[in-house]
Amino acid sequence: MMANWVHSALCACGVTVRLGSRSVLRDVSLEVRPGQVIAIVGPNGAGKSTLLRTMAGDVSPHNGEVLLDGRPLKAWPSVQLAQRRAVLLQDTTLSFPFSALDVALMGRAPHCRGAERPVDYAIARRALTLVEASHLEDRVYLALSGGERQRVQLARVLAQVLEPAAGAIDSAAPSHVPPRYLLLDEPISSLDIAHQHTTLDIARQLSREGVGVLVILHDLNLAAQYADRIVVLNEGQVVSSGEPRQVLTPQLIERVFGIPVHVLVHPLRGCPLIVPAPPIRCATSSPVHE
Amino acid sequence: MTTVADAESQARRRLAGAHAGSDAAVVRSGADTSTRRRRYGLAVLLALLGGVIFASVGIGAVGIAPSQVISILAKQINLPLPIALVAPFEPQQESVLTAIRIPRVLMGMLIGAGLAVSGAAMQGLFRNPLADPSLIGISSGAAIAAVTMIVLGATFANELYKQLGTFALPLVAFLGAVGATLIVYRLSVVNGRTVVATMLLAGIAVNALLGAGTGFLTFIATDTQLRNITFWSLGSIGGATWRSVSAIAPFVVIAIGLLPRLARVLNAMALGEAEAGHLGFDVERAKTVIVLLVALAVGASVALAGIIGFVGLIVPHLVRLLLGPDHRGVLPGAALLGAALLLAADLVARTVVAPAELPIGIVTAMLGAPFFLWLLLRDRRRSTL
Repeated sequence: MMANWVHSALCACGVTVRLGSRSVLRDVSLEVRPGQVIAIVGPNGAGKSTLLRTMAGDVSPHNGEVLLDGRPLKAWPSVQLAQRRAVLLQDTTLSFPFSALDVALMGRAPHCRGAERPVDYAIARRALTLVEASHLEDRVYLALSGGERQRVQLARVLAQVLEPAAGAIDSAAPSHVPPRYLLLDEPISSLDIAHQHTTLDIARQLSREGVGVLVILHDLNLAAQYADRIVVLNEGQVVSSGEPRQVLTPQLIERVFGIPVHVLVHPLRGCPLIVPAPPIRCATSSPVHE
Repeated sequence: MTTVADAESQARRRLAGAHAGSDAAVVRSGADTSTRRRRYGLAVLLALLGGVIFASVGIGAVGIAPSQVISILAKQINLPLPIALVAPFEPQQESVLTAIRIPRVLMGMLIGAGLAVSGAAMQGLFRNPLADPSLIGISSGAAIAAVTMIVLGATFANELYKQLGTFALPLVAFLGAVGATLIVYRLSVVNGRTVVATMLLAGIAVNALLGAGTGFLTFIATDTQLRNITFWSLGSIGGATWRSVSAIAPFVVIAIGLLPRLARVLNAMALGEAEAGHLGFDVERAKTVIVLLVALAVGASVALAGIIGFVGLIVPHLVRLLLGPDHRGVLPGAALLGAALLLAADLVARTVVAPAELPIGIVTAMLGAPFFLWLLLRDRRRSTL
C-alpha cells in the first residue's frame, strides 16, 4: 500500500520567508508524506504558523520552494490542489449565519461542481460525526461555543480530504484516490481534554488511510503521543526533528522553551512524558529566554 | 488514561463504522432541506414579483385590470386569446400601458434587481452585512459627474448635449460611477492582491473627496441648477422610456446573469479569503469580477434614476431571513425581491400624492431606514441574550 506513495510528499525545501527586513523562516526544510503525522512544536513567534501557511501556499517564500508530489504549489491548478490538501488555520471566522452542516459541506466544494451531491452530504455528516458534532448540524455556527466552532471547522477540512465510503479503508486503496494532505494550525486550542485526544486520534486514523498530516501543537505530551515525527522550530529555524523520543530531550526543551523539565516514560505508550519542573521561585527570578 | 484509551477506541470504531457503507443511510435524512427551502422561497418571490408587476402596470391615473393587461399584450404580439379570456379595453389604456407603464415597470425591475443583487454581492465580498455598493465610490462618482454636467455642462458640453440629448447626463454619470470605482479598486491592490479592508478605506477617502467636489459645485450652482441637482439626487424612474430601458438593460442583465455564478465563491469567502483559496476558488478573480459587474450595474442605475438608497442594503437581509445565508439563494432572491420592492416603492411614490410624484429615493429610505433599525435592534437584543 505504501509503495504507491513513496514519491508523494508535501515538501518545504530550504524555505526562507522575510517579513520586511526580518527573516521569519530561515532555510527550513520539512517533508510530510502520506501516512505520517508530523507535529511542529516551538515557542510563540518561532514561525510555526508562517511555515504552515507557506506550505499551504498562502505565503510565497523568498528562497526555496514548496512542492506537492514533486510539483511546485503554484503549478497546481487550484481545484486539483484543493482536492489534495486541506488547511485549517487558527481563528477561522464566519460572516453569515450558516449552519454547522453548511460549514462542513463547504469542505466538499473542490469535489463537486454546482450543487452538492448526496455523497457530499454523507461525507460532510460523517466528518461531523467524527468530531462528535453531528448533534450540532442544524445549529447556526455563529451561536456555537468556541470549542464547538473549532470542531465544526475541523469537520470542514476533514470533509475535504475524506473519501467516499465504499471500502476506502481496505488495504487495497483505490488507485484513483490521490495522496492527500491535511495542514492543521493548533486544531485543539479550544478543545476540552477528551476532544483534544479524539481530534488527534482522527489525525492518526486518517494517516493510516494515506493522508499526510502536519499539525502545529503546543502540548509536547500530545505531540509525543500522536506524532510519528516532531519538528522543533525556534527563531525561524528547525533546531531538531525526528521521532519523539529522539527529539524531546530535557536539554533541547530547556534550550528552546527556557523551562527545565523532567522527561519520563509514558506508562501506557512508552513515549516521552514531559513534566515541567520550573524552579520554585521562578515567577520573579528566572530569565525566560537566553 | 483509561478514559483516553476508551475515547480513542470509540473514535476508531466510529471511523471504521462510518466507512462500512453507512453513507447511504445518512443520505435519506433530508439531505437537501436547505435546497428545498431555497427553491420554495425563490418560487414565492417570483410569485410576489408577478403580483407586484400586475399591480404596477394596472394602478394609476388610468386603471387597467389584469385581464385587460393580458388582452392588450396578446393583441400587441398578435396572440389569439380564448374568447373567455378576452377583456374589452379602451385605446387610451393600450397606449398608457405600452408607452408609459411597461417601460416604467421594466426600468423599476432592472434597477431594483441590479441594486439588490449588487448589494448582496458587496456584502459577500466585504464579509459584512452592512456593506453596500456606495462603499466603493459608485454613487459619489456618479454624483460629481452629474452635478458637473448640471452646473458646468452648458459651458463645455454643448456638443455632447447636441449629440445625445437627454442621454448626455446619464452617460457622464455612468462614466463617473465606473471611474470612481476603478480608482478605489486600483488603490486597494497591494502586491497584485486586492485587500478588501484597504478597498473600504480607499472608498471612504474617495467618497469624501468627491463629496467635497460635489459640495463645491452645489455651492456655485444657480437656483435652477440646485433644483435639478436635488431632483437628480433624490432619484426617480418616472422618465423611463423604451429607449432608456434598452440603455440600462445590458449592464443590469449581465450583472444579474453573472453574479449568481459567483455564489459558491462568496459562500466560501464567508469563511475568509485564505480559506476560500484553500477550497480551490480563485478569490482574486472573483473580487475583480464582482467589483466590475457591480460598478456597471449600479453605475447604470444611478446614472438613469439617481441615487436610490437602502435597496442594496436591505433586500439581501430580507432574502437571508427568508432563504438562509447561502448565496445560491441570496443572489437570485435579491434580484427578485429587489425588483418587487422597487416597483412597490415606485407605486407608492406615484400614487400617494397623485397627480404629483414623490422622488422614489424618499420612499425607499422612509420604508427602509426604520426597518433596518428594527433589524439592528433585534439582532442586538438576540446577541446579548
